[in-house]
Amino acid sequence: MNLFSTLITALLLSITTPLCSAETQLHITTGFTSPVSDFYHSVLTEADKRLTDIAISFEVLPAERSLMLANQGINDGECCRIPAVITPEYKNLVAINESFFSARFSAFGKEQTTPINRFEDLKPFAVGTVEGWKIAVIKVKEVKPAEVHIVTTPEQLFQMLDQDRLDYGVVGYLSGLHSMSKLKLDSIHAIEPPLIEKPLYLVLHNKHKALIPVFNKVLIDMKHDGTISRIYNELIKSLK
Amino acid sequence: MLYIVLFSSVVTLILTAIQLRIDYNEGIDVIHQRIDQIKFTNIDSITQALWTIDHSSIQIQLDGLSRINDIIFVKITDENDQLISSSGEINTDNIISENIVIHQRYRGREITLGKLTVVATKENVYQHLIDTVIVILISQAIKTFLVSLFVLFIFYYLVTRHLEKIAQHSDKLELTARPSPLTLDRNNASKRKDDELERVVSSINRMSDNIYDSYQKLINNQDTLTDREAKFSAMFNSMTDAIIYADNERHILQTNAAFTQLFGYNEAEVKGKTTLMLYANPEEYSEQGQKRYNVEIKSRPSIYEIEYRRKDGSTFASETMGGAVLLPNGTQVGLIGIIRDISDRNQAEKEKNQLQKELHQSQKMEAIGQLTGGIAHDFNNILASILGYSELAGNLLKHSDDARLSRYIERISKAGERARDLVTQMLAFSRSAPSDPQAIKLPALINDVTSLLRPTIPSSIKLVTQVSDHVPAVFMDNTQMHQILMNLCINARDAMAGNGTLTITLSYETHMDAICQTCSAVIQGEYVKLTVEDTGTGIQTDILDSIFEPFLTTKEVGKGSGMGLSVVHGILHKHNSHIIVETELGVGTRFHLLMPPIKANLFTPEIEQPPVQLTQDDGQGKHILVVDDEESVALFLQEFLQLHNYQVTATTSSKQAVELFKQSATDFDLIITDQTMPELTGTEMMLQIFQRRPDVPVILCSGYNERVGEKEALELGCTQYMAKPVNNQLLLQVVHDILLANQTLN
Repeated sequence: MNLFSTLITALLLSITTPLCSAETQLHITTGFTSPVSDFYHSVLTEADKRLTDIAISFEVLPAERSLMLANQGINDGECCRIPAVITPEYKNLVAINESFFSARFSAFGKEQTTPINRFEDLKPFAVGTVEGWKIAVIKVKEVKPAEVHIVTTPEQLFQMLDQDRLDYGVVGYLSGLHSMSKLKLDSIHAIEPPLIEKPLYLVLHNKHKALIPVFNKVLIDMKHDGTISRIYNELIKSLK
Repeated sequence: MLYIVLFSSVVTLILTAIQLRIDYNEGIDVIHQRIDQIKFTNIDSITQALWTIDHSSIQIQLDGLSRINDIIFVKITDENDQLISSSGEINTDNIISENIVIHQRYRGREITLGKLTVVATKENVYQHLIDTVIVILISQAIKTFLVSLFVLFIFYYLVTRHLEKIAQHSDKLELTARPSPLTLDRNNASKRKDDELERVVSSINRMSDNIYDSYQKLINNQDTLTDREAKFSAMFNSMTDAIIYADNERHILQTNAAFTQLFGYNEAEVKGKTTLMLYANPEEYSEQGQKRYNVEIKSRPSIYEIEYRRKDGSTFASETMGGAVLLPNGTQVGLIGIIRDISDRNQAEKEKNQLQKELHQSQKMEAIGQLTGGIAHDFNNILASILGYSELAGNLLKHSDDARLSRYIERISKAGERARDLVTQMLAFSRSAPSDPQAIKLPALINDVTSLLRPTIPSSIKLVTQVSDHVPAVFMDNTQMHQILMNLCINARDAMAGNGTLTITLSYETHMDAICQTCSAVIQGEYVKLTVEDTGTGIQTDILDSIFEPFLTTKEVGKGSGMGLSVVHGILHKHNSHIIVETELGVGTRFHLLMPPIKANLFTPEIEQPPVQLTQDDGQGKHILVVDDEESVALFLQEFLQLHNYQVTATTSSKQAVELFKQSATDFDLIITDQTMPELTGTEMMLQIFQRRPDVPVILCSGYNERVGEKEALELGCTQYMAKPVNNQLLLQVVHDILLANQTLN
């Protein structure tokens, strides 16, 4: 490549770049794994479609790293969190007002001998949960069951359940379903009702605070037109 | 051996140090390599765990890292340097710490996730070094020891044993005998002829021979040198003169035994010091230095007199020969002084001069005495004739009408008597005058003299006598003593020119110690001292030694005979007495007469001799042989005796007298002879006559200075000894008495 060719290439690049920068690029990550992340991805993809001035990209990261990068401004948002839990630590993050997903922690087990309605009910049992699921870990430890096993992955948890090394495993509802599906474990089922269910909110970096209404509106719109429900149901369906 | 071990040890230590340094570097490199290995192998997984904030994974990995050798502590901090996790602990200061920043590439940018700190200990490296040191040192020590032993053995076999033999051979070398040649016990010695040991052996053999030869020469030379040195030392120390050898700056180097004896210093006390300490007068040191050492430094040694000081501070006169000591090539190596104490010599010379002076004085007085005596003798003979014939002529002219002839004869007799008095004084001076010494008391004599003297002394001259008590008597001729005192007093009177004090002092000195003015005899012990002192003009020093000579007078011509003091001298010395004169011009003169005292009572009563009464008939024809070589005397005696009726045969020859006596021995009744005659002396003649007739009486008349004195003459058989000048009347009395006595016996 001679000098002339280099100059031409540089000129073409400089002409095309302004066309792309006309819309706001948002890179939003999540600490949730599949299938929750799949749900988020689908929702945000739909939102991206509806928000013409905003281009949304999505990525799954380790949970803590996802928060830290968003808080650092490296990424633009994180999906999704309980604002009251994270904002004291991650002060650069602001939540939008509209929740489109609730975190649902359920106890999974083979046979339910006693009603399990809340964490305290797990006390007599050997209980396990997955590291990184902060609420579950905290709550389990608070209850101080007969045995506590903090494992690395939901798969480990369900394999232990399957091999009866645990009486109950506490994990997110969708993750539990996904793991059972993945491991093809039929003997294990989610205990109803969930032990806890908390609405989660998309959090943005402060610099994107102005976009909060935009996202509120688009999410409300997606709720009203049933898009979100549709996506969720499709997900549940795929997991069963 | 010790040097081998030391050198080996030093080399070992240096090499060990180098080895340790290398090992240390390697150990440190290994640590760094391990850290680098962590970077390469673990950092990705750690980054991943940190990215996913998988704390348990991080912890597990850190635990794994901390178990790696030398890694004692690892930790991970986040991007804010907040500790995330750690493992191990730091329990030493010897560490290597390295921080590894962990980055994550994310969305096209580098994100700092945190920092991995790896701390490694160097203790293992040090421990390894210690182990290495111990191993190296022990192994090197063993190796050194073994190698040293081996080297020692080889060296001993090849060198040391030969050196020992050489040493033993050298130890046994004696200079008194020619050494046997040295050979070594070596295989194939002939092949090794040119190696170092064989050359050493050859050199030692040659050296031994050369040393032996040189020693023999040295011994010979040493013997000669020792002999020379011993002789020189003996000679040096046998010298009676003190010898000082000094360097050119006059620092004393060597002295001999005589020096120590003379100065009182031993050699050690003066060695290195200048000769200044020896000089009585420090200025003399510089003066002599300029005279003897600087100006004429290379001239011949000179002899000079100088005074030195002994160690005890006393000084002495010396005769010193001083000069430079020169080598044959002319190099001056020092100075030498040969010192002779001439104190005794000076004293001896002084005494000798004094003695010579005294001898001269004594001889002079003796010569003058002999001369005076001789003259007096001749004058006596002449005067005997003059007076004798004057007397005969006087007798013949008693009845002459011409009174003038008698007066002339009388005047001739007077003049002759004056001349006889003078001769008597001359004889007194020459000690030839007859004397009659007896014990006399000087106080009485002084009284007599002062009584006689007082009228002749002017009233302006005070006469004082001081006589001590208990002064012993002296053995003197009273008349002569009288004469002495008179002479001295008259001289004193005349010396005062009519004004002054004349003092006569008599004392008894028990501790005299003086020299006689005239005979220079030493006067020591007890003496009676009679002093005549005047306050006159004193005696000139230049004539003091001559005042006792006869005919010396300071008086006007005609007023003094010049015999006064000479008579004093003669009489005193005839009686073993002496005289001392003290005089001072303008003050006066003292004459001290020193006479030996008489302690025993020798006083004899004076016997009054009856006056001789002779008549012209006394002779009665007795035949007398008169012998005198002086013809006038012989003829006078012949005529004088014939006048008194003696038959006299006179002859001037003693031989003829003997012949005459032999011809008719019985004809002679008496012989009167002179002693001093040319052919036979009086006594010789007498002895020949006695052979013929021993009983013949002989009167021997002797003058001055005769060999035969009265005592000897009497012992030889002489009947009577008479001193000249013979008093004619006394002669008549003696002749009469002898003949009378002889007649009575017969």
